[in-house]
Amino acid sequence: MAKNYQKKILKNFSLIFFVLIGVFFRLFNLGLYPRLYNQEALVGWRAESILLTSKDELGRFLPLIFSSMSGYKFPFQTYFTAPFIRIFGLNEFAIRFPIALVGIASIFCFYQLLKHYFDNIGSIYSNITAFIFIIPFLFISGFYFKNRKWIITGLILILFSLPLYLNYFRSPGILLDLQVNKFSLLSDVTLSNSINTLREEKTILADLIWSEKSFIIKPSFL
Amino acid sequence: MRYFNPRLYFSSGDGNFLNGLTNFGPLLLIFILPFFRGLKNLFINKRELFNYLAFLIVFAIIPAVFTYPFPALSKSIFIIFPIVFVIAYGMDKLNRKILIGFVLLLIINVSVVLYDAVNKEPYRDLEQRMYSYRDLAREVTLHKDSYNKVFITNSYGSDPSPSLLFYMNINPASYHRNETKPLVYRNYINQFDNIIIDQKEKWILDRNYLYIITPDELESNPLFYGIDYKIKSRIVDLSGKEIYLFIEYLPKTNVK
Repeated sequence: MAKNYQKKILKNFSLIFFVLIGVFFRLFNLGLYPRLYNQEALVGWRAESILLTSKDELGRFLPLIFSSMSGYKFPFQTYFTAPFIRIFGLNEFAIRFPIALVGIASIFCFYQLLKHYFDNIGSIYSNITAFIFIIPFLFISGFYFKNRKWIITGLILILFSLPLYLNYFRSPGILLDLQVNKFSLLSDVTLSNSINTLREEKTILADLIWSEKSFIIKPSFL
Repeated sequence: MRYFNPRLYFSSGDGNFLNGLTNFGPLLLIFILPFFRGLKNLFINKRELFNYLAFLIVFAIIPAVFTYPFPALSKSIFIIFPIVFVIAYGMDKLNRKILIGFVLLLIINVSVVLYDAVNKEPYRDLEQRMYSYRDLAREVTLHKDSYNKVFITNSYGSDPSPSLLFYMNINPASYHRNETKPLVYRNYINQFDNIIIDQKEKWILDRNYLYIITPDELESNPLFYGIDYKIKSRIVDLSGKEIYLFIEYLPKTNVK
């Protein structure tokens, strides 16, 4: 039994090593540097408001879309932060911890994805690539996975779903099954949520199609 | 086309402090060498994989191109993954001498970036980073109960209200208020307790009000022309420059 564990640990040594490095760089000085950005502070305080009163800053009961100085925001970020505010209290660390956690999970996901691609070439690629992936984040620990850019949650959901889909497509008879079910995989929650999370970023295309100045569609209520 | 410029990923980045260190890209400069080697090797030996990665790179850029007129790393993050694939391929089968040289260069590169991140980065774009909002919240908490109203300017940084709500730990239950009129988000969130942020049309001079303004505003805002005042407190940034002055109005009759 113990030997089995030893074998498993040895087999996944590089993954464990990379995850440990990732954990260190993502959690080191998490709440201290860089200083909290305005939008992060708003997310933290709003999450506490949701926890204590079930209302957002405008007094709306558990809204599915939030307002901010720069437009509407999707709710994932706030609701995902709320449990950590409950655990750690309202502080900088609690606000950034969930996204750091997502960052740590991304190492695992990316590694699995690489293994899938490079299995037939050699696992050295997976190791090098994971190493390169982790090293830059030593210097950019202040962004992407540490705070602020919640676009990363969309990325992580896609990263989670990709290896699963790659395995899924290897199953025999899957194409026929997809045809019968009218490509129902597009209704997958991880994918649709990731797309929704990404949509939080305002797009020029959306502005062109749907806005006051749009020449394609002019909503009547604008 | 600017998304195809290696400087964006390996050297200068997009300069947005929200997307990382303002002087560096998301990948270390040293990785540019294996990146080009990987591209060359892939093109010669693995044309199919090269085509696939090239497709991924182009595909990753499309949403970013439609999202923002200038290169933005946060919007083109998906491109990082194929680039890292190529770098990994470029680092394959390096001979020992080159590998040792590469590791040495990597250590130098890491040292330079770390030095910059620790010693120089905190001083860049102090205003955008809102470095002093924590100090502002501390000082406002100290003074706000002594005055009927506290007016805070919006001229330094942008919208300090979320940071104040957070750092002053304002109780959400006491913050919510029933508004009968249609809400303007910015005005709503910029007013809590006895604090009013921005909304300069509401500013009037009164002995019992506290004004938190920038040194420039003291000279440029007509409200403060020729008045007698007392500076109750100051807030400075990392470089020691005054950014907020806490002004108490002294009516003429009270002077001497």
